[in-house]
Amino acid sequence: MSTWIELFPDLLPGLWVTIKLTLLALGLGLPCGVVLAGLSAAPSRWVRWPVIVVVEIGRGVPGLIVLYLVYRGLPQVDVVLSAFLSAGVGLAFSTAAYTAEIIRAGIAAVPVGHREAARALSLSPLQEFRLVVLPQALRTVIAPLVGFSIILYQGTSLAYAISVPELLSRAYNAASITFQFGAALTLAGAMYAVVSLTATALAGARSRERVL
Amino acid sequence: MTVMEHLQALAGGIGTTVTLTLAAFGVGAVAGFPLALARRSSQWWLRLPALAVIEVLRAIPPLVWLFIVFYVIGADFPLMTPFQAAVAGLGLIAAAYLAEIYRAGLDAVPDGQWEAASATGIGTLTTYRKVVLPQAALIVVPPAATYLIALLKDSAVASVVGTTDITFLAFQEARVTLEGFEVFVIAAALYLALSAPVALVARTADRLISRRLGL
Amino acid sequence: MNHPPQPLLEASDICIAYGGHQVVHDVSLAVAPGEVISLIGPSGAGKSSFLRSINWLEPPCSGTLTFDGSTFRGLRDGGVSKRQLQGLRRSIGMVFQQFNLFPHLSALENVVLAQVHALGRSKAEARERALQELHHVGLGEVTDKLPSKCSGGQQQRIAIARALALDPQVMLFDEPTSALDPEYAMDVLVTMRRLADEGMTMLVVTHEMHFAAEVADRVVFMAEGRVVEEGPAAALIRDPQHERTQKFLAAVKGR
Repeated sequence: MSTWIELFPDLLPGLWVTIKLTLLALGLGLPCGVVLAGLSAAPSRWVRWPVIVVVEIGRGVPGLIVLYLVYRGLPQVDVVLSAFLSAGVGLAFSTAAYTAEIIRAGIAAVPVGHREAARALSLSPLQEFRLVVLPQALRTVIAPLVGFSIILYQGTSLAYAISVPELLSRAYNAASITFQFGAALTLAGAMYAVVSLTATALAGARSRERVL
Repeated sequence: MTVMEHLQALAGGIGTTVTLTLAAFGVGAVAGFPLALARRSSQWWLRLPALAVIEVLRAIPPLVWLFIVFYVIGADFPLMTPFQAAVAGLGLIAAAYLAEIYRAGLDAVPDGQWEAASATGIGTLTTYRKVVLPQAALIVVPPAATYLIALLKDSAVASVVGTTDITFLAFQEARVTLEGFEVFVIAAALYLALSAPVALVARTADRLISRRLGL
Repeated sequence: MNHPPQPLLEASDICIAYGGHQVVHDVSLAVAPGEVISLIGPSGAGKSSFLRSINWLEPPCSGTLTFDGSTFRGLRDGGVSKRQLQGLRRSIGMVFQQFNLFPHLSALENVVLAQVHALGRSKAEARERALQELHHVGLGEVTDKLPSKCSGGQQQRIAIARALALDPQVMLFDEPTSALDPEYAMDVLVTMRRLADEGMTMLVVTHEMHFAAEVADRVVFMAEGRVVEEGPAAALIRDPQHERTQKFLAAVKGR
């Protein structure tokens, strides 16, 4: 316990990087997810199919491969990003794909009868979407989005592999200097767990799938 | 370097990735079962520890678990290979996720089935074995298959401690050839190709089950 | 009945198909103003599909609908424009079997929504009117509740108020009491009867033979997507002519 207290100040800046990385991926990825969800319902299949393919790729490829691709692959085509930005962009890609699917499912879950009722009341298609479908979809989507954010928070640990000084890197470095692997890694684990469990409890979100 | 040459370099990791994923899934499938039963128990001293174990396992990232198994627990087992550490680490997490999937499957069997079974006078164990499990087993197939895909993707973290899977070989190939872009795209395609048949099983099972159980 | 010959709504040769499978064959029906018509028949007879084609929720593949001086053509005969559709639906109210209230809005907001967004009424005006309609269906006290907090009978009456608030000329009811317990069904039937007494033109798909016999002016019996027999309500139900109708009514009465 006393080693945990000694190590804590060393790990704290890492927690801060981890949180910043989570927020960056959400900030970049979520708006893209909303757009992709909208496009995946487009009437034209020339729009719909490519979007579905992108979403499936984003959900099907390991997060680690995506990070390597951004950090070690993109420089080859002259896109050079810092390790932190690479991690942010890579995680944002996965975020966009997952949130697009969550939002698409939320829209699809609105009962057909409610859309019919809106039509029978002579609301226009745009009004039908804005006044009837969207408000209901948003409600069903919030819990899985919070659940995803918690998974994303954990997923930022992958950035260790491209040397972003996040929580796990800090713990590993502290451990290699002091040889207190047990204390440093379990403390990092506890710091991940405390944030995850608190967020889960606060949101009451029980829908969690292992994703990244 | 051509695409074929890159592919050949990565192909050696396919076996490791598949074995690792299936082994961890096997560990989770076995260990998850008692965990699910404890989680559903009416006894608080079984239910609460099970809940705590499941929640903690899922609240810590796979890579961190892997490090704890490899560097901390591994310190007492100097002969533990990275592959074994990965099976243990990912298997632990799989146990927690599969326990929750089992639990949902058991919960999905209607109370009426329990009532009907006890009305015939067969015991709890027989009810589980003959009535509840056969139904729950079907319900569990699609989410378990979906989880298997998630585990396949998670298995990539094993490369970080030196398991020579697809990701590990891709990392090396990229470093040697300096063609990271092509190499990681090929690696991504390999993972997608491996998960496609499982996804197909999940989808087909889902359709069969909805028809068969009239859900 | 001595209705004027000019119908308010006339459906001619309506055909409906789903993916190549035709479920309604050449159904024609003229509805006079103030008339109440019950559509009865076994399930799968195409009653609901036909009813839903009248406000184009189920666009007919062929046939025409004449309403209020406008003609609406089925998909194969040219279809309808968005403007036309909006106008048609504005004048026709619909009540669904599953109520289809919007779950995120209170009872009052459900009734206000389309008044504001489809008719362009002011919020205050729409609110006033909604309260009036909710009182009218006997629900003055539930205005601020969410639909999930209301009984099935209350939900269905809110749905009726929601449709009435748009001043429809015709009301369509698609098995409005099938999802309700008998006790609650009665509340809804009483509301519908009062609406009929006030002179509303109504088309009602129903399994309630008492309602059909007592409230409707005319009964249309459908089977296998066709009209088998139609006539004055009391007479048709008491003394059906066609063998298919006799069999159906015997089975229903035997229950």
